Formats: sequence, structure tokens, C-alpha cells
Amino acid sequence: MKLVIVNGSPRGRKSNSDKIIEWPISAMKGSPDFQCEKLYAVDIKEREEQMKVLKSADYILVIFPLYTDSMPGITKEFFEHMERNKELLSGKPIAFIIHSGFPEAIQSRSVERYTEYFSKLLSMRYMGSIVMAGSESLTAAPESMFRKKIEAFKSIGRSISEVKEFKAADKIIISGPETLPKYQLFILKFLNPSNFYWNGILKKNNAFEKRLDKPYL
Amino acid sequence: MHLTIINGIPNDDFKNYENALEEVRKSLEKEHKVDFFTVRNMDISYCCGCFSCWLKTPGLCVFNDDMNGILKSMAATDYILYISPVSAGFVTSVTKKVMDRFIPNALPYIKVYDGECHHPKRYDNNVKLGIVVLDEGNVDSEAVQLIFQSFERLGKNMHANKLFKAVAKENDMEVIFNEISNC
Repeated sequence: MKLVIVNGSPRGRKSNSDKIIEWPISAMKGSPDFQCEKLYAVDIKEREEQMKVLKSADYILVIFPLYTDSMPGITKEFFEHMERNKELLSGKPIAFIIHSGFPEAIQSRSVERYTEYFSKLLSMRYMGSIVMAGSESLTAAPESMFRKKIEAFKSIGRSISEVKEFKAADKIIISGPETLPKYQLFILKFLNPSNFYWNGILKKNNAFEKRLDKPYL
Repeated sequence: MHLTIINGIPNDDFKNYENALEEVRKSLEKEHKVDFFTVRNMDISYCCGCFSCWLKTPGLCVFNDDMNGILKSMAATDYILYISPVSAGFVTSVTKKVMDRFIPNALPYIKVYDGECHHPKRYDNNVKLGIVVLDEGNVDSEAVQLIFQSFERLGKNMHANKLFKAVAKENDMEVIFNEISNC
């Protein structure tokens, strides 16, 4: 099976998307005849070549981070090229991974619905979408903190090699909470670990004093 | 009122819409301060996700391009209105790149608003948010609903105090004028 990955991240090869996608791939590498090719939406000048690679795929897996409540602009531009080449893609299985820095899955549900619509629009075989909350911490936290999610992604990788639907249990482990429980929201009001994280980087960059600047006023 | 209008039409195939929009713009300018941006004629890079605008040069993007003018307008405006045709079932990538490049005007921090986490605003202006989807006669209502749902999310993240959603054919651009007049 030839798997083609579309990495929609504006950070390209240095993205969290590139780290996450290795988790399902790692479980597929052993299967016979497995081939994998990665395409990057940031390689905007290579669209023609990229569409040819998509044509050669047995299964397409798209991964992108949530940007202002939907897919990044550069990913959308890639989707527009796919739409223009829909006759090459008709009937191919496609699945999506949508990850976001927010701690709740609800933030990504709207674009998740879009991915199903988009697959239908291109007459492709929609295999499902996986939402993953809390991905920005991957830049700083060790991968061992994501152990359960990594296992669930591996299980999804195995489903893909058998071209089966994803298990609901794996999807839930990966997505995290739909919304945060009340006690957690209460704690966040007073103590938000992500704010310490941002302040730490701001200080390191000598930009902490300017953090609330309003340069356009 | 101060208006920021983002024209996300991707090419020259929508002349009738642009002529109609030009008329609306002229009418609005009689009573309002209108900043009108035709994105496809501007030099605007896609967001590269570097977070410099949050963590290195707070409020300023690493790209020094035509987005500066839009961000300046958005920092003081009362109303941000996006106008876009549908492509691949969503707003155009030309529109989306401006939506992405808004983030210097937000803060990196996360706060709880109505039980969900969102970024606080960098500027104090209270904005209304609008989306007008251009209908060339064959627009799919499912795509329109998906766009509207996405803007409902965006409205929350931008702390908009009003969300206006409309579908317009070339001869009913006055929906824009009527909406602004009623605010």
C-alpha cells in the first residue's frame, strides 16, 4: 500500500504535525508492500508534482494544525489544488488529523465536519477524522507525556494499513476532553500553566516587558 | 463607525460582484470610515506559525508586508467584514490567509470565557464580525453552513460582540449596506 501524507502545517518539516504523523506511520512500517511519501503544503511551488504523487496514492492522510478555527491558509490553498484535480482523486480513501493547541476538542469540531464535506465534494472515500487537543505542548514536553495518545495513534496506523475505520476508543483517547470540566476551568482562572510557559519564552527572548504592547495604536 | 472590509475574491472572474461592491463602498463612505482591502492585489504572505508576533516582537509580525495596514485597521475598527466566494467548500485561501495573520492582534495567553479557553485581545476595541459568502448561483448550502459554523467559532475567539452571516448574489450587495446601517 502506498500511503501519501499531506502535511498542511505552515511550519513544514519542523512542525508538530511532522512529529505526530510519525506515530501512526511507525505502526505501519512492518506491513508488506508499505510505502510512504510525504508532501508539504509549504512547498507551494511544487503543486503540480504533488498532485501527481496524490494520484499514485492508495490512501491519503492529511494532517494540519487548527489556525483561527479552521485549516491554515496554506492548507486551504492545497485543498483548492486538490479540487481542481478531483478527477485524479475520485474514489481514493482519505483521512484527516486535526490538532490544536487548545485543551478542548470542541474547538476543532467545525473544521472536522468540513473535512467530511470536502472528501464528499471530491468524490473521495472519507475514512474519518481525528481531532487532537493540546498539541502545542509537544514543542516543549517530552514525548513520553503523550504515551497513551501515541499508542492510540499506532492503533489507528494499523487500522489504516488494513483500510478499516478508526476505533472510537482510540479517537477519544487522542481527542482529549470535549470541553474542560468545571473544576479544571476554575483552576485555570487562577493558575494557568500555559501562561507560565509563554512568559518563560518571552523572558528568554527579552520581550516580557513588551508582551502587552499595542504597536498599531 | 470604522469598518474594515476584507475582499477575499481570488481572481478577476467576479467583475459584476466587484462593481456592486464598489457601489456599496461608495455609499458607506458617505457616513463611515471605510478601510477596504482587496487581498489578491496585496503582497501578503501566509502565516508561517513562528509565533514571533507573540513571543519575540509582541504585536508585530515577522513579515513586513501589506498585512501591516490590515492589522492597523483591525486594531481600531468597530466592524470586520469578510467577503468571499466559496472554493473547495470553504472561504478562499486568499481570505483565509488574512484570517490567520490576525494573530498578532491577540495575546498568546489562554483565558476562560463562557466555559471555553480563548486568547485575550491585544487591543481594547470591541468588534463586530461579519461574513458575506458570494453566491454565483451554484453555491451549496452545506458549504455555506460550514463556513458560518467556522465564523461562529472565530467570533468567539475574536470576542466579537455581534456576528453577521449572509449569502449574497451580485445584485443583492445592498445586504452589506443594510447591515451596517442597522448597527
